[in-house]
Amino acid sequence: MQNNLKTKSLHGTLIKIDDCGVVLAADPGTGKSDLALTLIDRGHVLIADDCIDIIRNENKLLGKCPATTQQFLLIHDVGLINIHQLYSHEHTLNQCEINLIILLVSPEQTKKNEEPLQPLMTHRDILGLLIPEIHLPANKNRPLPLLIEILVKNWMLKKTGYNTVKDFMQRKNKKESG
Amino acid sequence: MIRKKLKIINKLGLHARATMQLVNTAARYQSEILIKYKNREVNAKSIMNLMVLAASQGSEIELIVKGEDEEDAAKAVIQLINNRFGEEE
Repeated sequence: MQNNLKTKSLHGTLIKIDDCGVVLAADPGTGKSDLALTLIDRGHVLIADDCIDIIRNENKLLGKCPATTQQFLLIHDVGLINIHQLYSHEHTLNQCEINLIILLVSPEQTKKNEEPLQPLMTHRDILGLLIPEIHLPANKNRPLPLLIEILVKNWMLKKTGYNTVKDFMQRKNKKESG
Repeated sequence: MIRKKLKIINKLGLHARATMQLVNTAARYQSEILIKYKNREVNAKSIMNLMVLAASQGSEIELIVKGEDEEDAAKAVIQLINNRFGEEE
């Protein structure tokens, strides 16, 4: 019997934003958990904070929360909180498919994004599957939770067939030629 | 890269206070510091990660350190664990 299930654990926070399973990845101390809390407060769903168990099932990557940390979030200076108790059951899930990674990078270390109309996009190989990865400079002065939400929504929109940049370019070209 | 097998010898194992000490020690170094226990390899700079391991007294773990200051980092972590995190037993 061929066993297609490969596993590993990933350092990151897994949140479901709309229908998208997003891994927020960053070095410890960057503020992942604070961001996760804000996103939950905005209505999104927590799967796992800080430690995600990853399982590959054929062409899908599933992220699960280890039993010990289910529903918990550790917030610096606030302590351990239980999302079920403070919010509701609708704000947590024990597992979801991973569709996208958002890597929070320090603004000084960021490779300059040559393309101002698009975010910095790459891919990460996890258990043999290529998962899209967006690099977001974690500038504390910017509304990071909103930026993350919009990055995800824009990415999902692109998957439905609407290309924001293409639309803009077409309109611009039309204006220039007309 | 440095890999070293260690045993958790303090009575309470990798409980909250010990985890905090490990995280504080690891945070001083630039290297990536991972602790492997059973099937999981977790980041030693993260409290939640270490709590998930639930490594009790007698657990055999593996320390994996990678980076410019890996020698110093490994030495500090090994010393902390072998000194029972400063606990009496």
